[in-house]
Amino acid sequence: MEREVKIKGIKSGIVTGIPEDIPWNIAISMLEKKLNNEFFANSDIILDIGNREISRKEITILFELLDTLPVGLKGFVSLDEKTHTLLKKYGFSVSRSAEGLQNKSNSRYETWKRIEGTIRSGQKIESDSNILIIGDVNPDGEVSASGSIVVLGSLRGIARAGIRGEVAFIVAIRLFPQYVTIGKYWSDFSKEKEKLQEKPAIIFIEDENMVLRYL
Amino acid sequence: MGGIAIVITSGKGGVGKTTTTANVGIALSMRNKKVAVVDADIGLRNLDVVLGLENRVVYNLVDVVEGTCNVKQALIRHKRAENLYLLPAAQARTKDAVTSDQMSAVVADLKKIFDFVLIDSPAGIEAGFRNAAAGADIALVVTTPEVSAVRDADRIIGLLDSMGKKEHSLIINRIRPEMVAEGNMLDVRDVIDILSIKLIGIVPEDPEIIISTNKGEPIVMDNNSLAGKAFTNIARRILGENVPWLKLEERRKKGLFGWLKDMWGR
Repeated sequence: MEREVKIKGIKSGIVTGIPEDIPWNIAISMLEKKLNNEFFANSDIILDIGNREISRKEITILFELLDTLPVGLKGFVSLDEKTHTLLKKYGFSVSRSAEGLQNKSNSRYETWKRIEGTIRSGQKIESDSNILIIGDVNPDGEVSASGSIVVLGSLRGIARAGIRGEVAFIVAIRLFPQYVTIGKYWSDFSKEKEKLQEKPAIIFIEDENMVLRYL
Repeated sequence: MGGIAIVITSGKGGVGKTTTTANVGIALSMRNKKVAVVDADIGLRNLDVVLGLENRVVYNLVDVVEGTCNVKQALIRHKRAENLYLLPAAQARTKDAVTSDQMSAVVADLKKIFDFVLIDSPAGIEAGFRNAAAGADIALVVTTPEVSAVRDADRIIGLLDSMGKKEHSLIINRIRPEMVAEGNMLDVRDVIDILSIKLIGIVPEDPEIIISTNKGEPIVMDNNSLAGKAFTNIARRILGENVPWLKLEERRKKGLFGWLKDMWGR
């Protein structure tokens, strides 16, 4: 079997084949060497893992690597049933062939950048996908995503979702933002501020209006 | 063994860093620890005044860094608290007179001789703060229970984290329990909710502080003051003691008018 990370371009994107029978951590470092290159900046890659079965832990390691690279992940090609299901569960696009991925929706918005800890005043988190904050967003802390934003804590700062104009939502356990934006819509909930409750809520756009709904 | 270096910082100016450094320093020294307090606010030095030592400043931190003298020559021993030494800042220079590495080196030297090295950081988030924090093992973040001070403290904690200084504790200074009760001032819980760091001290607003800093007689040396007790308790907690929080409503015994009289000096 192949012992190298192979890259080839097809119509749906750049397919990166990961050899099946080498240890995952070695595959990861090979992947890092190949992809950590300006050439791939802003490309979407398709990872072909063939018959390989990968675990949740291995997916996390991969995810952490992809966070540091200039590439986006369009999806996976996987022939192993278990892996196929697991990847789908994580929200990735998976198919049995690279061509099969062509018709799937833009998977950038199926991945979640995960941050643990509080976003403090003056800190800014940005992502081209969705963002999950396990912690608070403090006043003058800012979270900005092309996709949606979920804050498993208090949102007291600034959240901007759907910055490229795509459909998106914002969720927080406690919602007292300085302001939020979804696409071109903005609100600081100043009218509702007296009545904002300490309950989980979701903000989305409906009929050209920004709506806040308690969950 | 080596000493422990603690930087006292806040972001916001005027919240009580220098007062805290002086008082906690004295309190530690009164518990038989050898303490050096370093004024890192170059160009706007105040620690010498607050300790009543401004007439004794010969050499300063910048002299040490530039090699004009060694650190022992620059240290000034406190008149009453014999285990406390001050390394004053230069008044005629500015914050760019020293680099982070130079500060770290001075602090490292002091750690060899002292049990505790307390570094009084300037306000702000620029080089002055970074230099002050450079050699520190622990940070004490001082805030008052006000929205703007808490905002700045949050920023400073974020910066300390990014500098790798992840050991930090909070001091909430100048709290007025009556105002908190009326809902006009942030509660301790409100502050901790936002800052999410360990609390090591709550110091009440005390008019005696202004008198003590003007006279250069740190308030911890006065047995009757609640603020003095609060600073002493911070020192005790630094030494690992489990000290219960003071009942700050005690001052109500003076009565509202008694307290108002103190506030306006009549």
